[in-house]
Amino acid sequence: MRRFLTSRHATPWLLLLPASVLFAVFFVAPFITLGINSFYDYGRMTGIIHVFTWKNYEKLWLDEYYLSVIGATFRLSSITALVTLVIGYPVALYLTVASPRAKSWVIALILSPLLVSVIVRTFGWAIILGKNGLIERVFTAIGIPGTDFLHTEAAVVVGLVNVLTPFVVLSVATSLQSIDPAVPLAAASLGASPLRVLSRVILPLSLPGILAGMLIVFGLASATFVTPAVLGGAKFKVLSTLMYQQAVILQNWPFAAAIAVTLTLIVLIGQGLQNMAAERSRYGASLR
Amino acid sequence: MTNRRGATTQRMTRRSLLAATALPLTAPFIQARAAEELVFASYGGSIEQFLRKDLLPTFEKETGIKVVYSAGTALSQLSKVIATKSRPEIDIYWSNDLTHAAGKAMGLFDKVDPAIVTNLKEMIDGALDPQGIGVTTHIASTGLQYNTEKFKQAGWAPPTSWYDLWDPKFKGKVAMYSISVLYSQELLGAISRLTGGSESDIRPGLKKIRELKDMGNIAAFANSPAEMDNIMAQGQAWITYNGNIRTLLMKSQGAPMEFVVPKEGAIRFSLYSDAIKGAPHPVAAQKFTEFFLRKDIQERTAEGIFYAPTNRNAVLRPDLAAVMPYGTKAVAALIKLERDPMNRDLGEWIEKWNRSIES
Repeated sequence: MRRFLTSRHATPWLLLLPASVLFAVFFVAPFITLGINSFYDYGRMTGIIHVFTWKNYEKLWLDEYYLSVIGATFRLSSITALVTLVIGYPVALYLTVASPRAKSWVIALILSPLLVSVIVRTFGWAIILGKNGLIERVFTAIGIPGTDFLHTEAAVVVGLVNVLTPFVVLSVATSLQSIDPAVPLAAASLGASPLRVLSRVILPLSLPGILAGMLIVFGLASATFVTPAVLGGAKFKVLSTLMYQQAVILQNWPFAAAIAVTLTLIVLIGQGLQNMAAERSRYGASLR
Repeated sequence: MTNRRGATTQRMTRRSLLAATALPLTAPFIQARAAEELVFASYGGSIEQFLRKDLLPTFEKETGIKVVYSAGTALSQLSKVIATKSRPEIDIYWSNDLTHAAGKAMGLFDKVDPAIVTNLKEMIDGALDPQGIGVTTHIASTGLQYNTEKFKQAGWAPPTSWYDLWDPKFKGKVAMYSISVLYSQELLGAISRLTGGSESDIRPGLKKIRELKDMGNIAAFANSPAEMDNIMAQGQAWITYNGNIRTLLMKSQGAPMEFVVPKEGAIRFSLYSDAIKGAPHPVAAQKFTEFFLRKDIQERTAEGIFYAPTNRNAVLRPDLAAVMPYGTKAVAALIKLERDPMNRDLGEWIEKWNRSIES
């Protein structure tokens, strides 16, 4: 046993084994099945028809209506990623200068939405944002009536930002902490204003954290189901709610599978863009 | 033990596929273990509360069979039945017109066994399936629901017709269901019929309902009956179409709601007891059907959750009888939609509705 663990070749594999088995059995294998399924045909009277067809993808990628749903998904995820960044970045900056005590409080606060069940959290937002909810009552009191914005894209963004901000904060904070404190000091001593230190030194150096955090948020936001279903309402359609309709209401699993594959592709495109941006940020400055 | 483990793993793969394709919903689904068990696919909310508290304990006491309750919607339960087709887990599925037609077309259901379900001969006309697959357990109706308080304040008369939804004075006051919910599928079928189309030609109905959107009458879309209850209770909308049992349940909880049978007729909505082919407890499933159709149980169901009985011997209090499709005349007056073409074209219905109305 001892010899096995110290063996230089076996150890890395052993370390990866539990994770890879889990991943292979519960993700890769079902995903392959999903991919195969997405090329089958379906009829309500016959069920799934096991013949190869591009039909599902043709419908999804070429039809104006479905393209608009793909667009809405992309838009929602991008807006959510941007808003979480705007809200999360200052918090991450604060964390680098905060006392350990304050830091642990802020982190606990930022993480708190993750400790509440998605159903409870989402319905809580529905009450706050809905008719006669907190927001509407406050705005009515100061003379702006009719501000109930439940069942709008904004409501979905609010719900998502609430829970996804910690991912940006933690990711950016990690990046900020790895910056050598001497670097911003050097910039300041050379005469750069604090704003200039932030925009030309700290921000570029924390870019990997920004990009990683935004990618996580983008991926999670594009796949979320309960939040758009409850806060967006029936009219607000994204790929996840469309998938639900196809799989659960219509039992059209092949089309739902094609939607799932498309959703994965969207996240992969996001990942590709992130990699490209990260490469450029790393080498671009020195090349210029 | 090893065998059982193997079976579980195999089932998990299929289930995780289903999970990957969509649904984070559904109550924990417990696997059948002992012989004397019955997995019952049913509904959530008030229906679940009533069944769990009132009916099911009686059945368990009488038969010694333990009921495993699975809550969901008719269509999500159908999805589950299809997903577990090669190794059924659900014994009895309380389906509705549409999912009964769908499951029957796919050959998922067993016949009713008259040797165990001895009360089949007590059923009202039309409750028995021509092929003997499943049996209608209860009848409900879909009509109009309005907020009596708001109508009184505005000095409006109660609605009387389906076309009242198009009344310009209801601008921003009409609540709609998402097409994922059966009530909207029924509305589309019925309005198509009333406007010169049919269940096989929904163009006129779609056009008519589109007018409702264009004239600004629609206040909101509900994704589920529970959401509709909220929209109506909060006064976000004053009028909608709904199942009579939904209105009556709200009313029994003190909400100022009333149900109206439109003069063109309310839509017939039937529930079926469908035993799943190849399920682990076929005898228990038949026993449950027999129990469900029994005169006293049907009377209790009508009192508890307002589903009208299909056992012709069931006697209801006059106040209950007045608000549900009870008796030959009331049942005959209902609009009976053709569920086979509805089921066949449901994909197109949803797609067309998504594009032109729910967007």
